[in-house]
Amino acid sequence: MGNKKYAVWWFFGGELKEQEEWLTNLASQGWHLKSITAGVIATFVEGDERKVRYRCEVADRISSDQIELYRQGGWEYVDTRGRVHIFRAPEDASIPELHTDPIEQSRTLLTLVHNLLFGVILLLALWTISLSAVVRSGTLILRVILEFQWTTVLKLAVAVYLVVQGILGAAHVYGVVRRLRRGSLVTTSGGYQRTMSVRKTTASIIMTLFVLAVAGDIGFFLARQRATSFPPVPESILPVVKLGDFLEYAGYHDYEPHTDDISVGVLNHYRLRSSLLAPAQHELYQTMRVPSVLPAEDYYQRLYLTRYDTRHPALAQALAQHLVRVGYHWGMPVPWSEPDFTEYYAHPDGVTSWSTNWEQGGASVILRGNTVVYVMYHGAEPLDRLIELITIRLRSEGE
Amino acid sequence: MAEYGLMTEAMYYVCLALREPLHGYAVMAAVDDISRGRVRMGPGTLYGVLTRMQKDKLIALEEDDGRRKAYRLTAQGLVALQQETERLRAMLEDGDRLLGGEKLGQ
Repeated sequence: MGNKKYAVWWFFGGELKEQEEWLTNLASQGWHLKSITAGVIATFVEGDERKVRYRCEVADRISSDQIELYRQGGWEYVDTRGRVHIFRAPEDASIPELHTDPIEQSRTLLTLVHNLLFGVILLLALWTISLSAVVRSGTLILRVILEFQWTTVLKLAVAVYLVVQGILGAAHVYGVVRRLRRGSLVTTSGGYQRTMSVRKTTASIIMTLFVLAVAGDIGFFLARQRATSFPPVPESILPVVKLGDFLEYAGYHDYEPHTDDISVGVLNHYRLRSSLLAPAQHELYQTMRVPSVLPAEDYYQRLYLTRYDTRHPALAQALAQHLVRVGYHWGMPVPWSEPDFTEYYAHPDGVTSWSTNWEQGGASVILRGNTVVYVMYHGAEPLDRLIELITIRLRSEGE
Repeated sequence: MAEYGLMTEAMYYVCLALREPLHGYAVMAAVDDISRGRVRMGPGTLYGVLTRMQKDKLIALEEDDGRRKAYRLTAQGLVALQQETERLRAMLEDGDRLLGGEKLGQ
């Protein structure tokens, strides 16, 4: 058995003539196609250097009677790549071309145009469906600002590339179909090296981007898994405020920080999230049991505070308005069951707040420059005191 | 009488060849014979023509042993062939009449 060598199949489905020329050229150097693995890796075996014609036949599937008919006509079936089936025959005048009628050949190629366009439409439909699901949830802006990662950019680039290539490929094949309909048989283009070199470059870049995106997603996933054991709540440097900053009770540290025991309603954690448009998202969740004089039982104070540092004041503005409208809680939209944020207040120094008061506590969205603070509080202290502390902290940062 | 569409050269010769049942490869040889070597039909072209004409009921499967299939012209196929022959004859007559029998290129 001869030596083997492997090569990446760089060509797209529509580049039929280029593929034929590439295989024919390799055969003249003694390398004959043996098989194609996963549509990407071609295996060649070494043999005689001889003139062999390779041809790409297009069909949804290849049947045994088709292979047999072609064999009787002098053409050997080699392997299949998607809807393209590779045949070869020696350079022998007694063996006719695979296709001898341009009009008939144009019909087979038209199916490839349809398949390529179908792929493009399918990809666009998947985009539309996934996008419309997000739009229906009313949180597109929230998701884009808070969750848009660099991996998403890479995946978008890959998807755009595939769509553009699908359209260009369909246009290329349709050009061949039109030539055939005018009555001229397809001849070799003689330019497969250039196409291959372009494909090598672009496909390598796109593959690298895709691998990076997948690796990044796995990284984010692992980071989220690890994040179930939260880092301790920082004692001194904190984004904005924590419960201890405005509670005056000595026993507020009843629960250890960074425990996360939902079963008893105790949530204490701090963590830092990140996205492209809001690179720093500090999330603080604190629950503390406060000894009480009246009524007799102790009660809980709960603070949920998230500070989003966005890249631009316009992003912060859009985010603040959406938080006021739909809310956002651990990555999920929270339609407000409480009354709307009806209390609007423009503080000095460019701080704006929207608030709603509950029987005990309330919620507020506070905006200053690039920063949005979103806070929910359940407890006996007045919400205004909390908002005041936050605005003082935000103003001090701007000075 | 039903009107059938225009035929390509390949379809026309396949119809002529399939006046008697033939296997695919034998069709290629028959077309070569009938056209006195002028029309050589590749297997890709033949397979496409056979598939489409069978779908259009111009030919029918006569025998199928799994690997090879034999076809024959149907009654519809015969009508289509006759119509196409008439059309081609009329074209030739028009050409002959206007060119007055002169040979092109002379």
